[in-house]
Amino acid sequence: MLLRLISFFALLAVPANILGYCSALNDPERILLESEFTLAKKPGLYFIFNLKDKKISLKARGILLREWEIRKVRYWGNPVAVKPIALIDKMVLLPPKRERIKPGESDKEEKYEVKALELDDMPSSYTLSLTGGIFLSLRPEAKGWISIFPLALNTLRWRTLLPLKTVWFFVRKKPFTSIEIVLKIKRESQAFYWAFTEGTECIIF
Amino acid sequence: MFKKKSSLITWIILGTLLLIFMSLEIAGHLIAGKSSNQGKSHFVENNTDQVGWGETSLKNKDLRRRIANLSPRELCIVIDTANNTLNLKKEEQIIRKCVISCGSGNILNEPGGGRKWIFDTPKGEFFVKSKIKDPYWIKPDWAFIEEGKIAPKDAKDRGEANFLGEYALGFGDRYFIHGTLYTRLLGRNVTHGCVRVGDEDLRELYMATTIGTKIFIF
Repeated sequence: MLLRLISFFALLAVPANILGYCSALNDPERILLESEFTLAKKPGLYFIFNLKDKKISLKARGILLREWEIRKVRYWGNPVAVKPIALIDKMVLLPPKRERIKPGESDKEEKYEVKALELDDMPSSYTLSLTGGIFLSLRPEAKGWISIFPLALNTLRWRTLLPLKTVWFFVRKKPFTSIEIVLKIKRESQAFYWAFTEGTECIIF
Repeated sequence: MFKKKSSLITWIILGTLLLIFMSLEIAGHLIAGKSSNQGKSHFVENNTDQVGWGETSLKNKDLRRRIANLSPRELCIVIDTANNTLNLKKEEQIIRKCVISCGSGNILNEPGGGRKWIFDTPKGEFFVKSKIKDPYWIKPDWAFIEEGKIAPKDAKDRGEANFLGEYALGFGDRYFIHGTLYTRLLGRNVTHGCVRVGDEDLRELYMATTIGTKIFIF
């Protein structure tokens, strides 16, 4: 009884915000909801990478616009804080090229040949650079014998290049996190590249 | 003798480089391993046995309610520019699905001038700014430049009737959801930024929406 009383008064002595912080650390869902609320209040689109439930959600004002299923995920480096971060840059070997219209040469639309930047022109494997030294590498799930070589290259990159990058960022005293996300099919990966534009905010959970 | 010596030097250099490489690799692994163990894991399990869980659960419920309150209760338009589809939605329910055409993403440079146009449909959150019946298209400069013509100074020389269909819904910076003569191109990215819709779908959209109806484009 005495021990309980002492514990009770000891708890009262602790500032409420510390208690809240402690329970928040043990309640990652609350941190996620608080972060999402800050994004949902603003006009515009945002993404939630729910690595635990293996899905990426595109939302605006709290409503779900589109969802991507994650097949596999692996990560390397510093842990990621559950807070809004923004996309800085998309890094891809062969970025999609926009057509340049030549004045006077456009066809009448009856015999129109579509020359445009469409979903099929988007890359399916790419890396996204986010604030806080976070790099997201996305690719579709590899299937068949033809995927052996790119998979082997990817594994080599993961095992050899990432440790070197870690040292590089460590020397520069900057955080470094690499997360590899494998999506279901090529088209899903392309659609994600299309939808996630520079400056858009996201939360990684 | 010389060949043996140079071969030895080569092996020493290669060996040194390999040693440096392996050291960096090990260092990288160690740093990454240490970072991961610094108090937080990437997946923090929701431990429901902690003190104050009941209170936290209520707070989570309150947060979810506050987020839900931000979403539009009325009709909204959701445009997928990648797949060229438009959904008219009310909360989670899709009222109508439409096949549309969005921006081509092409670039037009003004010959001899400094102006440049990129024909993208803008992404983000917008709202219906205007509703127009029988819209009359006042062709902008790029429409003439694209055809290799000089843009007339007089506005009455720029007009084109029956080009935008029966209705138009304005949003953003002079963008419209409007009709089209080129229905066979619906489903493709062919526009100069506006959103083209088939006649029947456009009529339904015009009737259902009001000024202020939210438009989400991605």
